[in-house]
Amino acid sequence: MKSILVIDDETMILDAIKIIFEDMGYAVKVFSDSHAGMEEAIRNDYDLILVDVRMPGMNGAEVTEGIRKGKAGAKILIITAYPNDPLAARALQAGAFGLLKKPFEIAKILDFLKE
Amino acid sequence: MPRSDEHAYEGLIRESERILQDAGVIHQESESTTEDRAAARGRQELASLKAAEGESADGYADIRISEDRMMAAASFYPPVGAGRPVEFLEVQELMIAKGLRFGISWDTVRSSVLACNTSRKAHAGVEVARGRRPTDEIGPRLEVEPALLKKETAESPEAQAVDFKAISPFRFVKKGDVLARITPRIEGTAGIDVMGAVVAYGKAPAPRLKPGKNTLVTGETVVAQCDGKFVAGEESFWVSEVLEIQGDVDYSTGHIDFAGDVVVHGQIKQGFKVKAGGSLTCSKLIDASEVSCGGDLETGQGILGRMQGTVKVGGRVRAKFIENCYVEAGGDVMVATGCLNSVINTLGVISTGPRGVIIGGKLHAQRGVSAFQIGSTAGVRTEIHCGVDYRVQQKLAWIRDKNIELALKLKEVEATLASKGESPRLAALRDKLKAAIRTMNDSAKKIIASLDKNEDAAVTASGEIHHGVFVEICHVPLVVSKPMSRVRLVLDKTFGIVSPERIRA
Repeated sequence: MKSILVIDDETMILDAIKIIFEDMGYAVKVFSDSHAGMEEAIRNDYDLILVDVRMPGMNGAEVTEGIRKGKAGAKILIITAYPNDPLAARALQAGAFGLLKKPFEIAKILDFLKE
Repeated sequence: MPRSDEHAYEGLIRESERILQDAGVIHQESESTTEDRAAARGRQELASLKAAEGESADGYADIRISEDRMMAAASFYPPVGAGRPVEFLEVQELMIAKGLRFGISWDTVRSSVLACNTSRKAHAGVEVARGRRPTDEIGPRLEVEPALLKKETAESPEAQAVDFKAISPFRFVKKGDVLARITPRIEGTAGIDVMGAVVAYGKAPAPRLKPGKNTLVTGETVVAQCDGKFVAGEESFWVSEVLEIQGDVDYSTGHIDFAGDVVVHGQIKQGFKVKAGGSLTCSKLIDASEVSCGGDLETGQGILGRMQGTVKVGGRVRAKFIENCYVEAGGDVMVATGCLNSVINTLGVISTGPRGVIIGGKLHAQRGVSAFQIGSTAGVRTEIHCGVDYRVQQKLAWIRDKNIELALKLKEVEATLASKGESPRLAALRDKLKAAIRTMNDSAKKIIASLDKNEDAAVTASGEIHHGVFVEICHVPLVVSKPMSRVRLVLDKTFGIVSPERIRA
């Protein structure tokens, strides 16, 4: 079973992603606390990690940098409401391999998971 | 060939015949010929003995009749030494003496006699007479239309130009379509055996194919009693009102266009069309497809539009989520987790599960909208229109757009007339444009007058409704300027505004 880790402070988004992807047979773990989410991403293996850009505490770029330092091979997708956000660009530079528009794009996540 | 070799050859034939006979390969013979055969064998052996002793033996023939008397075979043996050759007349007498009367080929007998004598080789098992077998009577029976049994394949030379998505393994029929025809009884014909006796015909076993569910026998044909899928079994054929697809709707099924209910146990894959006259049930994902059904639509997972999928439903819609999709429904739309960036039009209610979200997109729901969260903190543009029939709304929008086009053209024509002076053709055009605008406006007034408004429609957020969400109830707008929790937005008929009401716990 493929696994997804979602780090987003919007609990509604977390709930929706969890329900939708678990329904489709994926294992989903969600964290609204960015630091705790980063630690989980380093500690365990996930097929896909979704990270929101704008979060209190550590932002998405910092989380991405932290995860990539701790686990170079982690596959991270950034979630942002503003594709031109400089933080999103920084996260991509840090090693995130793609960007999703908020709230989230189920079709794109599924495509990434299939790849 | 030297004489001694010829004898050896003769012996080989005899031995072979004996072995074949023992093995039952030689034509079946009636019991009555057994003695003749033994006698012939005796004569043959005697001739061979004589030859071995350097004496002569006459050529001869032997006739055998099959057990069913439908065939007679002759064996011709050449003379040995100075013996007489086989005589045609003698063979003829022998055949008559054996009782052969029908289907005799005298030419074959003649040529075999000649060949035997000239080649001095035995010619065994030559068919010299054949009876005519009876043909059985076949009773009236049903024969399914060949087109319904034909399987479509894409293996034609033109295959490269074939739309593989359009190839379906199913046979769909419409009410009244001919499924099978009654083939009338075929008379049997009597046969005649080689002895000239008449052989009576029998009856072929009665065909078992029977018309089944949703079929109707009318005169010489069997027709479909309803639209549906044609199914043929071993003993029956029928029309099924439900099309059940065990796996996905993909290249293995092609597009689906079915008059009844459709049940898909897998996914509806990207790019495939499904049209059901009745309801549509899909256990998994509906992925960027063109889907329409006359009844309800239910999916065990969600509907992914990928900004190109369209779903048109006569009844209700039930899904876990709807994303980037255009949905039209006659009944309520119930989405468990979220409506995301979709255009949803319904004459009923749009509602979500207890923690469901509506984020982004444009929703028209005549009877109102209810969700846990509407909009998002990021202020994603979310529009909700309630209280009016979306179809009327679409007509009004079309009239508005056409009126704008007409008005712009009118302005252009009037400007040209003003600058270049009076032109009868332009003047006529101006009058036509003005008349068209009037007609459009009249239509719009009539539509508005007949508008079935639902002023009790409300937008309810049991969680939060975020800033930036646009709400319109019976054309009265409200832009949510700050987040509100546990709120119901209703039309305040006294003041003609949309106002919030707190939801009590």
